[in-house]
Order: sequence, then C-alpha cells, then structure tokens
Amino acid sequence: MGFLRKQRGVPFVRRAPTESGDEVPIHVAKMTAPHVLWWHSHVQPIIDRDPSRADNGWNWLLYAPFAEVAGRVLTRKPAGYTIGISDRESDRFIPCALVQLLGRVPALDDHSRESVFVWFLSTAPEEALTTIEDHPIPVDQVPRRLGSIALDVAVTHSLNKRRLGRTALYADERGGDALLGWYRRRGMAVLPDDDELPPGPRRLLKPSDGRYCYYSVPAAVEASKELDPLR
Amino acid sequence: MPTPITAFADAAAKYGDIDPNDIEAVQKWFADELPKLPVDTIEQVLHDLLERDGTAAEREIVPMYPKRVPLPSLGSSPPALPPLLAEQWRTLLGRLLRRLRRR
Repeated sequence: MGFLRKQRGVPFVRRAPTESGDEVPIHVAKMTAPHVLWWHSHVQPIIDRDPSRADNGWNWLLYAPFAEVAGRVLTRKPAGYTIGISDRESDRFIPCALVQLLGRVPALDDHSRESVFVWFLSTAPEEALTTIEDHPIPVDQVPRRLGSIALDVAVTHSLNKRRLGRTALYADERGGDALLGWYRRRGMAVLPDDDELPPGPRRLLKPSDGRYCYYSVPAAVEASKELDPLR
Repeated sequence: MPTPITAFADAAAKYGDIDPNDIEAVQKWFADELPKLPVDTIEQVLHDLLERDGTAAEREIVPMYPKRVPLPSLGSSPPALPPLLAEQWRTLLGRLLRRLRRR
C-alpha cells in the first residue's frame, strides 16, 4: 500500500483552505533564526495569553537551537520546518506554524525500525496572523488546518527520508484528552502506558504513560493521502 | 515537550555560569555557547532537561519578547525541497517513455 509514495517521496503541502472557501498558497521553508525570532516577538505573546494551549509558555528561541544541537550530537538528524505564506511583492515570509523534529529515532511500534519524532509543533492563533503590523492577513484569508498541515510536514519528511512515514510524538499533558483525541482523529495510534519505549534517555526519564502517539506505515500513508488535494 | 523554561535556565546556569533569571542571557547561551561544548556535556544537558520534562516550573521567569522584529524575508526562508521524483515523477516518467519509444 502506498508503494509509489514510499519510493518516490511526497511533495509538501502547497495550499491551505481558508474561511472564504478559497485556498491560500503555502510555503514550507527550512526553519531559520529570523523565523523563531519573529515568532517569539509577535506570535508567542498571543499564545501565552491563552493558558489552555499546550504551547503556552514555550520559548522557540531555546528549543530550536537546542533541538538542533542535541539532535546532531545524538546523530538523530534534527530538522526544523516553518510553514508560512510568501508575499513576493514585499519579499516577506509570514510564519504560520513551526515544527521541530528528530529524523532518526527508533520507531515506537517496532524498535528495530527508524522513525521521525516530532519534538515541538506549534500553530499561530488567528489573532496573531490578522494583527501583523503592515502585513495583516484578512480574516477570511487566514490559512486553516494548520495543525494537520504541520503534522503532515513531519509525515512527509518521514516518507522522503526513507522512514516510510513512521512518525511519533508526545502529546503534552496540558493538552489533556482533547489533544490526544485530536491526534487519534488524524489516524495516530496511542502507545499503551505499559508498553516500553525504545532504548534511549526517554525510556528511563519519560516512560510511556499513554500519551505517546505514532503513525505505523499504513496509517501514515493514509494520513498523507488525505492531504493530497492540498499538495 | 513541556520541559519548563526554568529547567533550561538552570542548565545554562550549571553548565555556562549564566544568571538563570536573565532569560535573554539563557537564550544567547543556548544559541551561541552550547554548540561549542563537548559532546558529553551536551548529552548531560539533554539528560537534565528530560529529567524535568513534564514537571511544573518551581519559580516564574518573566518571558521577554523582542520588540518590533520585522517579518522574515523570503531570502531567509529557503524552501524545503522534497526529492526530485516526488515533485516531477510524471515529467521524468514521460521523458523516459518517450526516449524508450524513440529507440
């Protein structure tokens, strides 16, 4: 199943739906320092006003360099992506979601296989995108499904780097059952809390507690197909 | 990863002698100094952070948001490129078939 997808790879999403019913072009870029600096200046303060968000209080100025360094040292092949909107006229890029992942960790469902692990994932609230000084996005043009698109970027990375779509993450406790349910609805399985994690620091320091989620190969292929209309 | 910011600040204080209440100095240390440290030390920092993963912050660090940061330019946003075949497999397959037919 999904033989071609696994062999030839998959393009990243290029469009996102909007409230107006149109689609807006999306640009998936490599995450760079100006992206996280702008995010921490403009988007994070708005996220931090909402205590119900799992990414409340996050600091990408710490996470991005640390994940990059630690991932490289542990030969985990770190990668960071920014999903955003390009404005060619003004030569500006508007970050709408950030994803930091490790490209090479043992898979949760088969420790002998390699998987991608999503370390951090955050999407901009609508308010952050409609209040950008000099570049506000009209409400009806704000990209939707940013969470699904950000997760798809991780799955696409996995497919394109010969991890066959295997992708895992830890659903932050602050997101509660709602967050866990959201990942389930995206087709992810939840590792039972009595299952052992693959060898590594997490097995000892952050053992399975029923909040590790993962895509098996068939589930990842199905999830990837679901976003094909936006590629 | 819900590791509290205080864990990052304490790691910067422990391994870099940075004031843990100065979040800007902590950020600078993680960006500029951590990459220069020996591998063993970086692994130890990771260990310290994971150890406090999921724990509550035991003190408050007031976040500092940089002011008036301009939007990134397109030049600082290089596209993430998928494999050539993922984008152009139809074109490449067409070319291959045409070449085979010519033979």
